[in-house]
Amino acid sequence: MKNSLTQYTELFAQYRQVLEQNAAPVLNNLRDAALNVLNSAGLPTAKSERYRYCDVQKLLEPDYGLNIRRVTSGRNLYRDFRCAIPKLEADLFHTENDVPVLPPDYDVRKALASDVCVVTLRQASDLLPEIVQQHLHSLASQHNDGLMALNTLLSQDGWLVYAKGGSAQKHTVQVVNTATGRTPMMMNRRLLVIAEPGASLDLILCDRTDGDAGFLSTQVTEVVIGEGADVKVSVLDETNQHTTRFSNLLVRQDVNSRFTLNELTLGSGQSRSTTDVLLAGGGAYVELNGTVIADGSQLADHNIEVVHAVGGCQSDMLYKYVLGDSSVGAFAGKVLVRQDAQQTISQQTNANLCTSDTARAFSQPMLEIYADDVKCNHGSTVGKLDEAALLYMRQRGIEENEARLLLQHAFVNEVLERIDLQPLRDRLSHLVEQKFRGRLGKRCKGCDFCG
Amino acid sequence: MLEIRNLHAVVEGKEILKGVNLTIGDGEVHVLMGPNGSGKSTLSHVLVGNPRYEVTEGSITFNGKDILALSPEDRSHEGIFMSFQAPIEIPGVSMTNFMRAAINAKRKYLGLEPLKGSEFLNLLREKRQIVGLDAHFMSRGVNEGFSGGERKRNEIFQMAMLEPTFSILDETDSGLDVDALRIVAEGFNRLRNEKTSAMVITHYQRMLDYLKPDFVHVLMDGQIVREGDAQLGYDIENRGFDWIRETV
Ligand SMILES: Nc1ncnc2c1ncn2[C@@H]1O[C@H](COP(=O)(O)OP(=O)(O)O)[C@@H](O)[C@H]1O
Ligand SMILES: [Mg+2]
Repeated sequence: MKNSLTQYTELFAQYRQVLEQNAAPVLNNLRDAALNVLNSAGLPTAKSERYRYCDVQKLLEPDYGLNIRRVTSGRNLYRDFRCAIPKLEADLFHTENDVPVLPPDYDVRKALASDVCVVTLRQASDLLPEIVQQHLHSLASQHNDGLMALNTLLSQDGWLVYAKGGSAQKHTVQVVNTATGRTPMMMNRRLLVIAEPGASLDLILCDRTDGDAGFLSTQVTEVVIGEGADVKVSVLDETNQHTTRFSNLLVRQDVNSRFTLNELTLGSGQSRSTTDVLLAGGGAYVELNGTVIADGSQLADHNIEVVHAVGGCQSDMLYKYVLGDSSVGAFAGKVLVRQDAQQTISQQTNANLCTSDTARAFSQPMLEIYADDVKCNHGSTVGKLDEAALLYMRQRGIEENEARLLLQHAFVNEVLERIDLQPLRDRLSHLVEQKFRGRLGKRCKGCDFCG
Repeated sequence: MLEIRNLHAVVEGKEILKGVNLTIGDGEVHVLMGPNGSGKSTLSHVLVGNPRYEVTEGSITFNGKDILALSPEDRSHEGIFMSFQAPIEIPGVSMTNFMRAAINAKRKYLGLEPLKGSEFLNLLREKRQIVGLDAHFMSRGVNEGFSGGERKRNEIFQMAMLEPTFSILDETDSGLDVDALRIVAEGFNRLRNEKTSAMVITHYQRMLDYLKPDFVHVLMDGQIVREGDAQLGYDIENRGFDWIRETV
């Protein structure tokens, strides 16, 4: 019997040639090393320290198809997409399954010349070979992680978002990943973000599904942030409940840089997000924010590690979960302060609201400190809706469900308020409300884009 | 307006109300007094339908309706309001959004359209002035960072917004200084008319002076043990409860 891993390695062995012919050359260079990691470390098991709440092997067991020959449906995502964020000015890019699709009439020369350049990794292999070779996999290679190795083994293309230094204006780029298959499918997505010293970038990543087929996505996103650069990444997951989503986000920050992450998990059946931030230059600041609203039998598992490798950096984490039905929320956040990282300031908060008796929350904030001059705090709570507040609201005539909704929304608002891009904050707040009302993922009138 | 018959109620397995009888007519203000722990707040919570309190016997009819069958929100729509003894903080839900939700829920119940934005804001301003609550409180979370006195004023403000026909004031005067008490009591008096009634829980003579209640009831150990006019309230203020206990 094939186990979860061999089903993929055997497929790879059999189709390697076709896969590589249809892939970005820069990715092909990485496959042997990935195979080595898989053969030696294997896939994470329940015993792996960072995977205690997520059964990777089991989630990889089903037989998913791969789109090795890079067939696309030919539909015009740029024309059909109706869920643009109101009032947001952004350069929009679509990924169909795991195939990056450029806008029609996209002028690559012009893109290369602009402050923020977005091209596929295939194009980047040709057009920006030094840059992409220097940075692609530079962060992922530091981890002996089977899931990331699986992504590296199988991914064929992806996006490069390259923000050049000295651009005074802030740029917003939105990448919308849509799973469109009608049968169960595995997608391996790759994204490389480079912010040169002084650059400024707002990146919005949306994961969606069209239809209710089951999908497995692995995605590896590397973000390399140069001195004084400011990068904000917002991730919205509104995929269907049959989706299994493994996401790895790796960040390296240089001197005085800023990085802000806002993750909003509304969808996915089983979702695992791993975030690794390396504060490698003094004065760097990182803020990681997450909101989870889960129901049904959703699993939302966030595993975060922030390494303060040098002194004078700050990290701030705020993750809030609202867990209904028999959903499971897991949060493990570790802050590692190395010996030389004096004057580290770090704050870590995880709060969970269980709205049903069968929902479960696991919360594990961790501090590992080897320096002596640091200010580090962490806290975690698991609670239920405040019955006294509910009664107060109902006494004033607010219907019970509405009162619950207001309280839940208020609970997560603390996180959403940290998003400083107003149109994005409004949009996410709206989606949160839709989710609470059980209306998320319902087809909007006059649109046949999503399920 | 309100008729409570042989009301028994249990909280956490313990019987607190042991056969309360009380009738309140249109336009009447009744004061409820009693030692701490006698069940005054329990009676208030039972009246508004707090699910933690279980009614084991008896009945409550409000304008002819059996309100024990109604949800807390429907009781509110029917015109019952309670000023809580300890108004709770609801961080993240702004006063404005809270009041809008409350007002429009009531209007929906009455078959009316939601208030327009400007109409709502005008109403908010008009009613705030009754208790001198500054505009900036409206953008804060409900009772978030409000002082004790501000919370009590906020209760009367909400009462003014919702225009109940029957109000319960559970120690709304406690912990207020002389000026704040005057503002709250005068605010309450401005909202009174011949159609509205109230049950006011208080320990203070000053409140009796302001309200001039029609009746005073004394609750002890879950039963009403004595009834009288305002004079009974003044007697209790002077002599405490022991003399009543001795005569029961
Ligand atoms: N929510 C509750 N849980 C447990 N016991 C309660 C609760 N509410 C009231 N009690 C008990 O009921 C009794 C009456 O309390 P209460 O109605 O608050 O009295 P009063 O308002 O007259 O001071 C007290 O013994 C109190 O401990
Ligand atoms: Mg009381």
